[in-house]
Amino acid sequence: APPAIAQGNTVWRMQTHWPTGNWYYDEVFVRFCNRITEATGGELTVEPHAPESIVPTGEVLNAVRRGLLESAFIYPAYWIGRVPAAGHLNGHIGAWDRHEEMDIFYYEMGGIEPIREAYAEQGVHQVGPISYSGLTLWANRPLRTAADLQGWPVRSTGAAGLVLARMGASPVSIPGGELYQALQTGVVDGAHWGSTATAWGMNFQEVCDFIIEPDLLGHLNGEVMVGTQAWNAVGEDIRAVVTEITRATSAEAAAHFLYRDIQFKQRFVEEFGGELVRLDDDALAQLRTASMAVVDEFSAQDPQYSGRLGEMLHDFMRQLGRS
Amino acid sequence: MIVLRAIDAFNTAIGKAVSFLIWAGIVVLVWEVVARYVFGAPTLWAHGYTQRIFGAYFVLVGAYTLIRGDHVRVDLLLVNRGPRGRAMLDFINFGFLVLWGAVLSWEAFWFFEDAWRFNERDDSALRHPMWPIKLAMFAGVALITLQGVAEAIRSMILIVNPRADVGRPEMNKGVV
Amino acid sequence: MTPEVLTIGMFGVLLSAILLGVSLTFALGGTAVIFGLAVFGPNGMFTIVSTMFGAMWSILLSAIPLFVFIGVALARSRIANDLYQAFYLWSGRTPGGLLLGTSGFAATLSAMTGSCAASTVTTGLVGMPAMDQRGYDRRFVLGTIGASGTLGILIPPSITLILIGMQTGQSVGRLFMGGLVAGLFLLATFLIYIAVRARLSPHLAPPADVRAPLRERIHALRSVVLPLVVILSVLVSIFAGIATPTEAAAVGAAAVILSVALRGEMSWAYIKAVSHDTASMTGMVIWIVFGASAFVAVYGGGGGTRFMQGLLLGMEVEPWMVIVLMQLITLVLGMFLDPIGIILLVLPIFFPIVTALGYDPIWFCILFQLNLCIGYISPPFGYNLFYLKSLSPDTPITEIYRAILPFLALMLATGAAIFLFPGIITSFTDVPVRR
Ligand code: NA
Ligand code: NA
Repeated sequence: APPAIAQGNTVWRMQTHWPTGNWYYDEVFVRFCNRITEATGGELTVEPHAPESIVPTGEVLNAVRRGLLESAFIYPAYWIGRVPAAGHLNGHIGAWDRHEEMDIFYYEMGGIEPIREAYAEQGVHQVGPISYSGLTLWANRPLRTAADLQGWPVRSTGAAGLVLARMGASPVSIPGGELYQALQTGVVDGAHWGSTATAWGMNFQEVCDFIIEPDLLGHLNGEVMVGTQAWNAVGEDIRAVVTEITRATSAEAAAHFLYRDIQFKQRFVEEFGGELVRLDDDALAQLRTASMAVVDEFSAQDPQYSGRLGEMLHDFMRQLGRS
Repeated sequence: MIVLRAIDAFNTAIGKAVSFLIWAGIVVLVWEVVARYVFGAPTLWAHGYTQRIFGAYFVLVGAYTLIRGDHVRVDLLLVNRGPRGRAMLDFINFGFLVLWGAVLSWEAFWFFEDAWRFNERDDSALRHPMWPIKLAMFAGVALITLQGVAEAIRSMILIVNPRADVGRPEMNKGVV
Repeated sequence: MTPEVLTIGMFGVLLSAILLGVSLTFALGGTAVIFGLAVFGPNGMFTIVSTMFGAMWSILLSAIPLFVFIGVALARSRIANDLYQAFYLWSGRTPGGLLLGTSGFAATLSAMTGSCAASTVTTGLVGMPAMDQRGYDRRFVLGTIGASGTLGILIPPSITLILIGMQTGQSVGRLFMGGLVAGLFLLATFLIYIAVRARLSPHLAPPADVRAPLRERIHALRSVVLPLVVILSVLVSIFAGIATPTEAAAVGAAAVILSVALRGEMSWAYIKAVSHDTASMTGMVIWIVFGASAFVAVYGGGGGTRFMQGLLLGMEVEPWMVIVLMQLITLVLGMFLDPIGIILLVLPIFFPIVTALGYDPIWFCILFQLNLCIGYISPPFGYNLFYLKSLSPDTPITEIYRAILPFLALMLATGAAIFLFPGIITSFTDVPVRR
């Protein structure tokens, strides 16, 4: 391809799903965009765009594929209906406990390869994960053993919902706008909504008595993606800058979110009279087994990409002595 | 004129048939409440199928609403207007619809094609195909656009000859 | 295209189209296409189809056809009429009795649904024929229905209050409490106004000629039982944690059908009529949502939102004036946008300013929410005005404006009272929210 960089200023509009007005919108997302713009001396300008400002969140992958939007800073779980491998990018229950473990799977063991191939098939370049902290489980009953999960009505969706169903819980789908009230009146007895910090914005602390520890998934990922066309239109040096800043931002974000989670959990106990309850080791082991069974289901449906990733994940679990 | 009447009849039949989807929506939601509250066994599909049923219902009733003259308008200029003036205003009205509808139809088709090609499924635990609801969307916007074209042609005829019989029986029950 | 030109152009074309009698939904959608093409070219049209799909796919909108169904099914059976007959007999020689009942009915519906469309349309469908029959003044009736319907988003459950809580980090529990207080306050002013006006001009809302004998009145009460069962089925489902508000709407719809069957009024003709009317009424409401979603997407994507936010941040006036200005802006936006769009557009800008100035955040949020309600009925373009128009197609829009004016004044006065005496709200919301 001809070196498009000679033309000078390229602009990527980058849409996120993070709501404006949240601390992380500015401190993580906008800062990420600005860092790229500054590091390239404006040769590549990345414009931060609020959720739904160009296309609805669910249609971002489609828009990036068609080149109607250049890039996105977003959440892989939205695409598991199109790219099942995105579930592995997002993270599976019981798999990674912290940022470094995800980094091992993604970069050391090479999990990034099949994921990038799966995205490439959609006309999208997967730049890399952006670390969040864990997936916090909120509840109105103190869950300590696997038996406590039996028949537990919990608002859940996606792979987490399938795992909880295997544990005997009753996952219920409820739209975000009705979730606060559903927890308040007892339509469901629990829910998860990202990390403690993100659920805080949904005001779960007002309507839940317990946070169940440890997090269902110790570490989960967002992602950065760029349309293949837009990606190929910039020079190698620019691509390297984007890739490196993505990786650096991911490490920073992991610490940011973890620290906030610690603070919010403290506030939950001190200001809201909430209680932190721990699941026992047996329950955790069963969750892990159920999660890997769901992973195997995905592998069977999508052998080309999820199948390879599933094998890698089994290998990872063996190496860490978790299976 | 026969073609215009055929379009009316076709869209009316579709609209009347689709109007019964509301009953399916009620049954699904009530079933979910019973399954969860009485049997303690919520379904994985009720939420996703509520979205599908009502999504299809919303878009497919558009043309029928148009035929019944229920897409509400301000009548500041419509009242006390002669038949020709009235036809001109109608033409502008349907022009806006056709403009919007044509774009929607074109885009909705590729929207459907994309879901079909990549075998897109929803992102919930249900993971059922998305192309049927996107096909319903294409059908809904195409049908209302077709009806809009038919009405625009009628308005044009009426601009030329305000006394022409354009076979628009129901549109004039009250100000549209 | 600069944001100034975009703003003037889009709103200008929209207003002109509406004045020329273009259906609200086509005016919104067509304007979006014209400016979408001008700003983004053909590529931008994806936005228009994808935001429409976003609206279709939103399960929260399902509550609208379900409540419309409840309204149509009650109105098409004898239940609605019998209910109003009972109201009529029991309100005796009091003029305006049916309107008082109607306003109360709308408030009750508001406790079941989070949408003004649902409470307004349903109240209108059920109440209008019965009040027509008994010689009530159409204008008085429309004003009451339009204004009482705005309680839909004020009285909890309310999606807008939940969204405000998410945007501002305020307690949803306190916001619900504040919304309830403001809603009941507003309802009280409506009831007083209706009662006084009906007493002064009884011909607008004539009472029964003679006081019905007690036996007849007791007999009429039997017809209240089934509607009461419908209402209770929805309320109990929500507040006992049996169902979400959307599911509860379906439970209510099933309860209506069961009631109609129990009264022996079920027939194939009835089923067809209810289904067809519900579809058409739903089409009217939902296609406006489709048009608005396209309009907002193009305006926002073209930089209009950021432009407007910049304007707001540039204001330099006295603190109390800031609050007043914010309310005015909300009111004006209420003429064009739906409440959710307004919340996303201005609240992230307003809220930090308000807290920096030291005002009570819950008080401000409730005032803001009240203004969203007022936007629904403020002429020339409020959604409820359009719903009224479709409920009463023969009434010219100017008549509807006139019908709504006294109620608009009441709502503005209520807003002013809350502005001047924050204690009306804060004395109820300054309490710890967690059990
Ligand atoms: Na409400
Ligand atoms: Na208004």
